[in-house]
Amino acid sequence: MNTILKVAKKEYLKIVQKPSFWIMIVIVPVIYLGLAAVSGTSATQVEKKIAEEVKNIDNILIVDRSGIISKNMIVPPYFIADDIEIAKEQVRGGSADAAFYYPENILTEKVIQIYAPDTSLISRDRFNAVAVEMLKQNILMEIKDPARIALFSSDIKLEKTLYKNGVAVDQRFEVFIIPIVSILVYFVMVMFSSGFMLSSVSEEKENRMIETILSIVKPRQLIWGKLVGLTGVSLTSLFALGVLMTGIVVASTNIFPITIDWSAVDVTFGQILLSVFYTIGGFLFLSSIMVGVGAAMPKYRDAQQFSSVFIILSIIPIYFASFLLAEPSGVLSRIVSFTPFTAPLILIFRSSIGALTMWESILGVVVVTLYVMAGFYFAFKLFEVGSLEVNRKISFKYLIQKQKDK
Amino acid sequence: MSESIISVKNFSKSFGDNKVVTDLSFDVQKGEVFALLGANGSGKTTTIRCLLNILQPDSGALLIDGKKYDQSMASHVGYLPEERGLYTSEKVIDTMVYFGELKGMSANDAKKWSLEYLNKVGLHDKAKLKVKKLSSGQQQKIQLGITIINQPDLLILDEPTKGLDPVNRTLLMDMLLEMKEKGSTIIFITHQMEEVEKIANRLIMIQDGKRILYGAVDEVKAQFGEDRIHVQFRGVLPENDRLYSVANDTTNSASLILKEGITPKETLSYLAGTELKITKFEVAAPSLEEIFVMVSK
Repeated sequence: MNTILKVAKKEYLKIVQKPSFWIMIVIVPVIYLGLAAVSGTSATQVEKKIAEEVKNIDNILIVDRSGIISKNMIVPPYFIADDIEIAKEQVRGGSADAAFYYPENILTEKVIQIYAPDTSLISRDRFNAVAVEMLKQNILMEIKDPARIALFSSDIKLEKTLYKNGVAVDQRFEVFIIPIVSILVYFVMVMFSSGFMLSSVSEEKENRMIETILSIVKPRQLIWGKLVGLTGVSLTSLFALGVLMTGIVVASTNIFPITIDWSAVDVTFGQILLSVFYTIGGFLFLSSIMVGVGAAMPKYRDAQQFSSVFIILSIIPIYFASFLLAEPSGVLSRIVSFTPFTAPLILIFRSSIGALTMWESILGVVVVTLYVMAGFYFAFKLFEVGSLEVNRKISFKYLIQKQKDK
Repeated sequence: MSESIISVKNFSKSFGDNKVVTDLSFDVQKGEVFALLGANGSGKTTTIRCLLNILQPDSGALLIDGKKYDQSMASHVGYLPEERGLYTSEKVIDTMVYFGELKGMSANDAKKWSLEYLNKVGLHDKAKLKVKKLSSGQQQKIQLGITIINQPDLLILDEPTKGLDPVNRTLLMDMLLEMKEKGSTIIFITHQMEEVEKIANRLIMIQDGKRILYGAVDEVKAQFGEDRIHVQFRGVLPENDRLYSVANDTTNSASLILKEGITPKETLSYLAGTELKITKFEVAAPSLEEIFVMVSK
């Protein structure tokens, strides 16, 4: 086994043998499931409570000054009341469950007044739909055609056809599966692994291991070994997460009958290749930054704080995601497609939704390659200068001075 | 004539305007114990780092077995740097096996050797513990273990006994002697002059990056002459500026440095004529420690 593979094996085993690694892998989907379960359960509980309260209602007073509400429509538990003040008093005293007041100027002001006891925070809106529905049903009474009334009350389906460059666009939600999966893969690969790279480089420096290692292993062998090992870690975590998430999706679709139309999942071989290239490029670029930061800082904690600047730069596109979604081929999207840190993620996203032209794809490949080369150039320089400087931070000024000394 | 395993010729190294080593040359013979001495900042560690290709020299040649060191030669070399540590969150045995593998051993051989070594240094029950659970002295033994796991032909140790208690220091020195007997060449940097006198064959002393002493230990000591008398006595040692000056005096002993042209016999005659009761009178060369202090001034 050559030296790079020996280092890679050690880096890989060091992480995957830790229980905390597997706990993290399991915990992320479990937390997601837990939150979904809690959210679903609480929503059901709210609905149940409201239904319980509504079931016990037997006295709602209707004060109509608009003339829209027909007396024929008012049957128990609804009762006509003449004076809103008296109706309010009855609600306050507990002898009425609620009072709806339809004022004279409802056509212009579009306001219905509701008076009811405050039974709980979650049921404050329990009469909203009832009061509005009462008004709507009375207006519908004016339409004589039952078919039209039925149409008004039914769920109307919308069939849209949208064109892009003269071609109808596939609007099924399944077309977003590939972009979402690509971005998730990118995040797991890049964010997860670059953190491991930082801790690996920093640990050897902080623990004073580095000089011993450099007497046995060349700096480039050490760094490439780490990269190979941590790529293995990322692929393992992706595989494990994939298995878990597939299980969750299968379980969820059994509980909630969601059908996925896989025919809408349209991806070309070229898109897959580009996504793989940009993901690896992003991983290598951010890893090179982490090598540099780890070598430049004397302690892991300092390195971690400093590296967060670069992590934020990498995920900054998320903060203007709405712009990118609205105009994936707009000026902003094009700019961030070719700037350092943001380029791989945006290129992956735009490629997966088919918003990347051939020339942009080629330019993207060139730009990402250049960023990776530049990243590693500086990373190796910083490593050469900083790895043995166990008590000082390496500034660019110091780095340049050291290069002049050579 | 012995064969050189290390040859350093006209080596110089600067960091910015700071000249750390200037035109340094020396050889280390195969199978000898060679001491690299000098005050802090004199350029010893820089010399070793350049020899092991960790730093690049500005000029000169630093060769091991006639070749510039390359990390692929690590299977024959063991290096214990001054700034040393371990993977604290990993198991002792895993750390040792990893370094064994890096130095070209199979995992099985590395594990077998490591367990034998741990047994030898009294850490057989710590193999599966994480390194951070070990005391500082125990960690030092592990560091030495990963340095010699490949049973190197050339062993380079930078302050190997730093931080060790007397028991572990003795253990280390015995192990070094054992390795020397097996034919390993040992270079060590130290400030402990008694260690040099005990095990080194030859030495080099560097000051401000320049060689100031070089040669066999006895030869170096002889350069400073046998102008020293160690005397033990009862009473008060009289002063005599014409015959000697006093160094390292205690209540009942002193080292006397003889003035130029004065013989030990004259001094003994003088002291015998005083009221001092002499219990021991020994003519000796200066110790390395004394030489070190002398030349460092």
